Amino acid sequence: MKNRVEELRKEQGVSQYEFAKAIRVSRQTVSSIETGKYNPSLELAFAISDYFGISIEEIFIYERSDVNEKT
Amino acid sequence: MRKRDLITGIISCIIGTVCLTALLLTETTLETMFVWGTGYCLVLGISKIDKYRWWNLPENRNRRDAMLESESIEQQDELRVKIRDRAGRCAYIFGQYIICAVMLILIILSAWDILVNTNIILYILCGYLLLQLIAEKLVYKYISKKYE
Repeated sequence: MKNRVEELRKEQGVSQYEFAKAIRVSRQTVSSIETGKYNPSLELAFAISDYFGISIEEIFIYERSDVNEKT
Repeated sequence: MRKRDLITGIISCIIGTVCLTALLLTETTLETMFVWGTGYCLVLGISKIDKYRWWNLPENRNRRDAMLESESIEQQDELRVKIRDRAGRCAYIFGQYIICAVMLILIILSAWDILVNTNIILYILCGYLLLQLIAEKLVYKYISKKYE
């Protein structure tokens, strides 16, 4: 799953630390989400979408795999 | 620091004092245990109380609030929780392999007559291994019931 978290955060001129504090997670979590190493829970995804004021679909881009497409 | 730390400090001091009193007033074979109890509990208790006092000084209040907030974030952070869970799972599996390896070594050493009377240790290790497996199944059942 790709995401635009880093792009949106930089657009707002917010540091990883400030962003992490606002959505109440560690800076490591923000960094992992931005690099695509970690996909956040639905709850955290909503917190991120609330922070940026846009929908989840506009932030997280789900890429369907071959397995999912068949089912 | 939270009230809980102060309470822990006071309880530790009380236990330390009880150990010290027992050490001074009685003659027992448990002397070493009381010495350790006195030292450990008093040092732990006094340091906890002092920490509580220091963090609650008006000039440290802002730092304390910031620290408590970051501590709470660290505790609830979902990635950290996931990593902790995975680490716990790895440690559990590693522990099981170690127990099996120790049991195997004991059996071999016992068969070669290098070690004697290993049966009791083998029974304890086997019991512990079984207990872990049963506990895992029970906890799994208990947690999965919550999601039904």
